[in-house]
Amino acid sequence: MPRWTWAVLLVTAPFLAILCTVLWQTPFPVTEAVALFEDVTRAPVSQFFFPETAYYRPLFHASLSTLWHYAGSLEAALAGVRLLHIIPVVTLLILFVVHVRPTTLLEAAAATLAVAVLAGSRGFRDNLEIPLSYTIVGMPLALFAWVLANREPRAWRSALIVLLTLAAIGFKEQGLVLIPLVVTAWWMGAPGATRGTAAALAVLAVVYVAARVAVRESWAPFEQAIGLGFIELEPDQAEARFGGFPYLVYAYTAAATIGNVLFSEPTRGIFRIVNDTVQGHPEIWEMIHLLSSAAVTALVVWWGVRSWRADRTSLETRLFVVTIVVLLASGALSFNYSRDRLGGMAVPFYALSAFFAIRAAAGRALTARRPQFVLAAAGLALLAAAWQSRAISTIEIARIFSARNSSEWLLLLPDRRVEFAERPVYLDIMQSMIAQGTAPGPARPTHYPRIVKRTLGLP
Amino acid sequence: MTDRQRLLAWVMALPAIVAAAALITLEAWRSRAPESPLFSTPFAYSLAEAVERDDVSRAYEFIRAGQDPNTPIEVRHAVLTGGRPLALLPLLWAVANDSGQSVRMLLGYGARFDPATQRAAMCLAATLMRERMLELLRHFGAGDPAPPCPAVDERDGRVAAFAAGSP
Repeated sequence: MPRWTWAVLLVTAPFLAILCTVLWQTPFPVTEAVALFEDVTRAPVSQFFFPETAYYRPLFHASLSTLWHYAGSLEAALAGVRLLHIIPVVTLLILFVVHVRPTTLLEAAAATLAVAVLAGSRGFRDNLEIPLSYTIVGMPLALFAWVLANREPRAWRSALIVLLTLAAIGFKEQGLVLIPLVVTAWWMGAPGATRGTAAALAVLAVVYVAARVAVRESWAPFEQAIGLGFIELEPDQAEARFGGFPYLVYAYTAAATIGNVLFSEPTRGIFRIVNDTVQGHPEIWEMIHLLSSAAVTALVVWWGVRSWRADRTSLETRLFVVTIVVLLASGALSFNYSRDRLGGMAVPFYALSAFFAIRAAAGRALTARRPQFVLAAAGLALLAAAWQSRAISTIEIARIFSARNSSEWLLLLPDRRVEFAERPVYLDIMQSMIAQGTAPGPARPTHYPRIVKRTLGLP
Repeated sequence: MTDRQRLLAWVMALPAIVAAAALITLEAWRSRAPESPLFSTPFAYSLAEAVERDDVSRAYEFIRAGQDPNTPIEVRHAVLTGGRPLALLPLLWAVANDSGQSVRMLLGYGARFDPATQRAAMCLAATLMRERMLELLRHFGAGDPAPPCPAVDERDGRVAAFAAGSP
């Protein structure tokens, strides 16, 4: 591996090590984890493969069930579930750097910025909630499928791409993104994305959608609360207003997820940054998020159009088109409600495009006249600083998740004992998990000075 | 490599290097001084102090260390106890200080909420006009107490009538 690739891994290592430590120290939440473990205790694994639920994640539940039943002890099971979250995070970041493979100082600099784009994106950050590893598992799988699609064709690589797709879909519907990804790669001439692979995945998509639609008898028009403009509507409110013809709202919600990846706005379908700006009190972090995302998106568009015009069969053009397709697919799959985490599958490709775009912009700046060069250098330095602040805040947000989970174990037990009095399995599991929930030394947020909190976007 | 290339590369890479160095420094500091105000809430010397601040994590540390939530604790407050030390149940001290999170924690980790404690807690919350606390106590099953509640003598402090050993 080139030494500059090692250098980028070295610079990324502290972030990665600290994030993994925080995830390892994070207690499981009462609100999500106990019910999940109750599910896998009560139901046989086979039941999770029957697609009758709106939240169909058979491999996630099967993994959880396997760990829960066969780990040997509660501690080992919980450690396994934590690793199910941590390993994809490590794999994603290392695979990203290795795939980018910077060979010069300039490429290494562009790669550090691209890593920050990946780690500082909301689609990454919002998928760090233990034990909900649905999408964080799919993200490295999608990136790996892309890597394989751009290698020389081999039968085992084709088979592996299909397996990766099945695994991603098995963890969450968002894994379906891999299908248009590979089909587009084939269409754009990626050597490892063969016609057979594309055809197999197309069949898989048809079978999956048919099975989901056929088995489940009725679908609620809105499964969760949706954002619309500056407000949030609960499912029943949304159904009352748009239940007759929800398709325009679906389109809005899908666009909101795409907008969140590209501009960090809206969040959950709500234009909070715009609202705060119009009201005259935008936060520092809001401006950092909006402007840094808009700047990277502008660079990606410039680079993509430039690549398209230069050579429609190049790797860079292929990546640009695949990024657009993955973004559209992520948006489409979140038509029912928009959340930051639902853009997660597109984030590795957005960050990958950012690397090529930043490298191209740097190359362009090098040949510019002195004043333009100085301006471009200052702009790229500011952009790098902004994204690094976002990456740091990702760690702090993970610490906040940890503190919140810890508080839940101290505050929610009396209510839960009443609410779940009829569910002895739930109560037994909750009781058995108190020790991990209240163990000393969970990751806690850093009490930064107010100005730092306002810059990082911390409560 | 030209000077321009070098300059451009370093201005882009510098924030990443600074961020990595800052993270390492902060973590080293955290491991050396975990009780620093940067990483934790102020230390509490007693359960009473933690409850008074409604610092539920600090309060739980005493319960985890073995302190019985049903044994009265010594409390002292300029207004609530008239500056005198009193022995009071942790739950009642939480009610007196409007420490809702501490009430939840204590109820979750062994504090008894029998009819006598419920009545004392409701009377205390009513005496101190803690509306949110009254709601919380009702949420956990306490009924409105039949009068009369213990009379409060301001000179003795407002919670003196609820102290252990009081009639």
